[in-house]
Amino acid sequence: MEKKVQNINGEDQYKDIIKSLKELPRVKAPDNFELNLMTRIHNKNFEIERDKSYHFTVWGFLKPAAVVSLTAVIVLFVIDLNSLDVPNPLLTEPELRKEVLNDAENMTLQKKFIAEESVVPETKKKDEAPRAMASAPAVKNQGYKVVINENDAISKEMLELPVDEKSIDVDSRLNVTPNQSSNRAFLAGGTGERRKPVFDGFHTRSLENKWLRDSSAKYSDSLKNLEEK
Amino acid sequence: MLDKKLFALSDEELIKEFQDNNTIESYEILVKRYKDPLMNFVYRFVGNRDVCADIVQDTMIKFYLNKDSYKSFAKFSTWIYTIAGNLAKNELKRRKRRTILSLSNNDDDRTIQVEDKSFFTPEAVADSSIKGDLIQKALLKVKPVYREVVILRDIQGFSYEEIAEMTELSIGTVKSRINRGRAQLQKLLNNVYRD
Repeated sequence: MEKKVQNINGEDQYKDIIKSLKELPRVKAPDNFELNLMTRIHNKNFEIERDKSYHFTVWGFLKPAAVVSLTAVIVLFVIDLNSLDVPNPLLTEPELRKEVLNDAENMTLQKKFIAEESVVPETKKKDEAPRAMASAPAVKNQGYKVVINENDAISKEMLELPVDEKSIDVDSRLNVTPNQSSNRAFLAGGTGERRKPVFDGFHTRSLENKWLRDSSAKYSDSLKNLEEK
Repeated sequence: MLDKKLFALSDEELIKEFQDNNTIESYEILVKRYKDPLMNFVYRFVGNRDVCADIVQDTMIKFYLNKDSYKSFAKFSTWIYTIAGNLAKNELKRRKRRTILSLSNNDDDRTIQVEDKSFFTPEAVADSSIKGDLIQKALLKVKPVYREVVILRDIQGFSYEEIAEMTELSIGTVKSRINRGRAQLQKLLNNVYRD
């Protein structure tokens, strides 16, 4: 009958396992177990440390995620600030110069100046032939003059060129025909009309320095006086 | 004289004395009687000697603090084992949570070395201490719900009724779980018994 009950409970089937489990060595409490326990009770230290240390909270679970998110936001904010294109005033070029460079792309300022001078109407281009410069049609040729102002700003001013062409061959211009040799002065002056060119001196765009003018006058007067003596 | 008289009392009489007169000696005698069996039970269930000592201490503290929750119609042993079992299960849950949170994937915990013949020769397996270690390792691989009842039945020697009371399960469920636990254990230790 007992055997039958054992079979129902399946204990025969696992007799080796059951035997091994029963023979397992008994684990005993440490020697100071009772002392520690009574000390805890005496000190009323009833707190279960493991419960405290591993206490699960939603905030505790989300804390690492919150830290990571906050760090990501800060990093993105810093990167975004860096990406702002704040123009450095020391690195930006003057406005006009930038315009000139943009127009001429890879051309230098000098090339640009020549290029602007060489703007000639299409009709003029067709008639262009190896004929004498003097007999060239009187097309007003305009150019530009680069002016560097006192504040180092560059500007351009419209300039009426003395010659019609954008470039001239001086020799051919002066030696057109022997008969016209008397006109050389007029030709050299770049006027098509029979009007003697008048040289009225060099002009500067800087403001007149009165002190310099006076001192120069005094200096020239003293030289004249010295020569007279 | 009082101690001698107390030693002669049963567990239920001792706790009654402790409940009624707050006799600390009764409590100490019960601690003496149950510290080693509880230590053995918790160690086989959790597998860590230091942790199991803490769990048994906490069990005794709970017993001290909640002595009035014991009802005289139950056996003291089933009551104290229920407390210890619950604390041990909480410890296992805590460990599981910690493993998930730490995202660690320690394969050593999953692999049982008992089937490695080259590592354990039959002579070595015959050695009781090594065999004991192997059984303990295998036992820790068994599902906790089966492990608990197998330990209570085959190691601690409780009856099915007592186990049913401790675990608040029906006797049929207890028997079923014990058999499933044994089957798992035999499967894990198959190599040892074949040799």
